[in-house]
Amino acid sequence: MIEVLIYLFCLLSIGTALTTCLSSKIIRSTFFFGITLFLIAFIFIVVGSNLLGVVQILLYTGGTLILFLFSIFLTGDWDYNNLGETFHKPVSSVLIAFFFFLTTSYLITTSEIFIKLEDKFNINKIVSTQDISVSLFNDWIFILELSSILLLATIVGCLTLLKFRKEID
Amino acid sequence: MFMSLIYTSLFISSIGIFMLLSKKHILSILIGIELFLNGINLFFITICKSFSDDIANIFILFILVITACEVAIGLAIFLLNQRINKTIDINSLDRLRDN
Amino acid sequence: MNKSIIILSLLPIFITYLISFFNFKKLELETLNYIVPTIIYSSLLFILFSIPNINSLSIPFLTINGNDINLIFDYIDKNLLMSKVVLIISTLVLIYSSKFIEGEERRSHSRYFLFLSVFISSMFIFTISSDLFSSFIFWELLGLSSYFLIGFWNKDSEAIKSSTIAFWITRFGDLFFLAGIILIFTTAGTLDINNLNQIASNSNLDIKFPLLFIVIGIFSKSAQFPFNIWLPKAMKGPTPVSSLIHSATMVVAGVLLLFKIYPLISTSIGLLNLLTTIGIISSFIGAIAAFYEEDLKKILAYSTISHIGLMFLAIGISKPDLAYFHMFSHSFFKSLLFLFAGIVIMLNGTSKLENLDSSIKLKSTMGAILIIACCSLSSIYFFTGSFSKEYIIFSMIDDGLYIEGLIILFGVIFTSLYSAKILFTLIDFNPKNESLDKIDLKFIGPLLILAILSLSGPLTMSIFNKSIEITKVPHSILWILALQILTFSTFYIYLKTKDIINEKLYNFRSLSDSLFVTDKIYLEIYDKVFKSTSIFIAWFDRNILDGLINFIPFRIIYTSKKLMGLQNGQAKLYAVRSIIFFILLILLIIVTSDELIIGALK
Repeated sequence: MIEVLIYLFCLLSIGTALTTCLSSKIIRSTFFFGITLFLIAFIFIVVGSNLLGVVQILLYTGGTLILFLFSIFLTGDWDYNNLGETFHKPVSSVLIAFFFFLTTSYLITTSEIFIKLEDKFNINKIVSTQDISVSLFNDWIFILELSSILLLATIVGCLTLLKFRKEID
Repeated sequence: MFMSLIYTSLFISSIGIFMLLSKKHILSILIGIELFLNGINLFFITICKSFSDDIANIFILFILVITACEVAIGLAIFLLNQRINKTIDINSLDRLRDN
Repeated sequence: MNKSIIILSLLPIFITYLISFFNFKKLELETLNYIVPTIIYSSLLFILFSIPNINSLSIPFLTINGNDINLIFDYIDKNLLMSKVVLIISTLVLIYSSKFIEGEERRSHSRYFLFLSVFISSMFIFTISSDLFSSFIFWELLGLSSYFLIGFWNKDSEAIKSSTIAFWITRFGDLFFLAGIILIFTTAGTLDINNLNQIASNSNLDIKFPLLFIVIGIFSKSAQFPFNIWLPKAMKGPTPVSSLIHSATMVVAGVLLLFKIYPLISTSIGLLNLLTTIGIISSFIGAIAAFYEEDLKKILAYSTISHIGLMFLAIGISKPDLAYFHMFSHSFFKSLLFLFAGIVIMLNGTSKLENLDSSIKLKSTMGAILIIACCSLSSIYFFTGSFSKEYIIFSMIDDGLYIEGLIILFGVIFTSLYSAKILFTLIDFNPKNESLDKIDLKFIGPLLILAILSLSGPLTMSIFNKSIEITKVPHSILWILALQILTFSTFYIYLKTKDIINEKLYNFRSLSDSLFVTDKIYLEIYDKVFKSTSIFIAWFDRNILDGLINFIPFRIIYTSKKLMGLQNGQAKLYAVRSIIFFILLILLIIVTSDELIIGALK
C-alpha cells in the first residue's frame, strides 16, 4: 500500500517539476512549483517524518511561494508567447543537468554503502516531535543558534535593501 | 522503494539545475534553486531512514532555514533590480563585466 | 705604495666618467675635464721621479692545474723609463687638447677626456706590467680607447669607417696574441716574464709557435707591412690623439714588449729573421709612400711606420737596447711633429700640402720648431733622431748585412726627401710677409718642451744611459760624415730642383700604390665581409631578439584579454561553471576511489 503511494507521489512530483520547467508563463510555473512542494511534503509524511512534511507545507508553500507570487505581481511582465523565449542556451544546460543526474545516480547506485543502506531502509518508525526537539536542543543546539543568527542577518539585510528604495529613483 | 525515491530526488534536483542554468526570467532561476534544494531534502530523508537516529530532521530544518533566507534576499534584490533596469532578464545583472 | 700608484693611475678614468654625468651649462666647470687628469698624471710623474725604490706588486689572479697566473707590476728602471716618457707626453698632450677641444660641442668634451684617460692609464700600466696576462689586458684596452678616439667625430662616416678598420685589424692581431699567451702557458706553465726569461735560457721548450703568434699580434698593433692600412686611415681622428697614440705610445707598445721578453725571442733565429725582414720592408715602403703622399698627417703616419720598422729591425739584429733607444727618441720628435701639424691644420683649415704652401714664417717660433723637428726626423747629426738611427745602421753594417744596409740607405734618402718636402713646403722664406697671429700658450708650451727634448741628442742619450746600458756600437767619424753628407745633399737637391723632382717622381706614383697591395684586400674584406656581418647581426638583433622580447608582453596582454572575457559579470555563468565543477569532482571521486568501483563490480 505504502509502496504504491510512494511510487504515485514520485511520479506526480516528477511530472509537476517538469511542468514547472517547461511552461511559458511564469504564473503557471510558480503554481506548479507550489504543487511540487505539496507533493514532496506528502512524500515526507508517507515516509514517516510528519513534522517535516507539515513544516514544508507551512513554510515553503505558505512562505516562499507567496513571496514569489507577490514579486510576480509587483513586477508585471507576466508571460512570454512561446516556450523558446524563456530559455537561454538550453542545449548545454540539458547536457549539464543530464550529466549531473548520471554521475550522481551512478555514484549512488553502485556503491557498497548505498546497497547496505537500501537493505536497512524502513519506514515503520514515525518520528515524534518530542524526539526531534530533544535531540535538537541537546545535541544540535549549535546549529539552532547558527540558523537563528542567519535569520537575523537576513532580516537586517532585507531591511537595508528596503532602505534604498527612494534614493535610487 | 528506496531506489525509486533516490531517483526521483536526483531527477528533481537535475530539473532544478536545468532551470537554474537555462531560464531567462530571474524568478524562474530562483524557482530552480528551490526545486534543487527540495530534491536534496528528499534525498536526505530517504537516506536517513536507514539509520536509527532521526538526524534527517535536523539536516532538513537547517537546509530549510538557509533556503528561506536566500530566497528572501534574492527576491529583494530582484525587485530592486527590476526597478532600476526595468527588465526581468538575468543578463541585465552584468555590472561586474570588464570588457 | 706600489698598489697606490696603480690606483692613482686608474683614478682619472673614474673621475672623468663621473664628471660626464654633470650638466656643465650651469656650472661652467668643463675645465675640470682636463685639469683633473693633468694634475693626477703629473703627480704620478712626480712620484715616479722622486721615489727611488718601489717594490714590485704581484696580484694572484687564477690557478690552473697548479700553475699560477699572477698580475705582476715591476717598477724597475727599464720599465719606468718608458712610463716617464708616456706620462710626459700625455701631460703635454692633455694641455694641448684643452685648447684644441674648445672648438667642439660641450657634450663631447667629457667623452674625449674619458677615453684619453683610459688610454693613458692603460698605457702606463702596460709599461710597468711584468707578465704577459696583464700586458694583454691593457693591450686590448689600448686598442679599445684608440677606436673611440679615432672615431671621435662620429658624424663623419669616413672617421667611423677608419676607426672600425683600425679596431678590426688590431683585434685580429689580439687573437693571435691571446693564442700565443695560451700556448706559452700550456707549455711553460707560467706567464711571468722574469720566470720565462730564465726558463728560456736553460731549457729546450718549443715556444717558437706561440712567440710567432705574439709577434704577429705585435705587427698588427704597430701597423707593419701586412697590416699597415689602419694607421694612415687613423689620421681622421683629432690631432692630439694621433700625436699621443699613433706616434709615441700605442704603436710602439709592441717594441716595449719585445724588449722585455727579448731572451725568449733570441732563442729562435727564424723569429729574429722575420722581425728583420718585416722591419726592412715596412721601413722602406713606408718611406716611399710618405714621399708620394699629399696630406700632411698621412706623411707623418707613413713616417711612423717607417721608423717602427727600424725598431723591429734593431731587435731582429739582436740589439734590443738600440730599439728601445730609438723608440725613446722617436716619441719626442714624432709627437712634436703631430702637434705642430695640428696647429697648422687648425690655422689653415686644411691638411693638404699644396694648400699649406708657405704658411710658416721662417723667423718665428713656429719656424724654429719646424726646423728642429724636421732635422730630427731626417737624422741630422746632433739632433735626437740621429744617434739612435745611426747606431742601428752601423750595427747592421758591422754585422755584415750589406744588402739590407743598402735598402735602409735608400730608405734614408726617401726619409730626407719627405722631411725636406714638409720643411720647404711649409716655410715661407720671404721675410717681407706678415707673421701669423699670436698662438696661444697652451699650444706653444708643449711644443717648446718637446722641441728642447728633440733638439739635443746628447741630452736624451745621457737620460737614456742612466737607466739602460747601450751596448757599444763601433762607429767611426767617416761613416757619420758619409751619412750626414747624404742627408744634406738630398736636402739641397730637393730645395733647388723641387719642381723637377716632383714631376719626375710623380710618374712612379703608381708603383708606390702597388706596393701596398694589401690595402685593397683589406678594404675589400671590410666592405664585403664585415659590413654584411654587421648588417646581419643588426637585423637579427632588431627583429629576432627584440621580437622575442616584445612577443612575451604581447602574448601576455592577449591572454589576459581573453581571460577577462571569462568574467562577464553574469551570475548564471558562474553558476554553470560551479555545477560543472561539482560534476567533474564527483567523476573524479568515482574514478579514483577503488571501493566504489569494486562495489560496482560486485
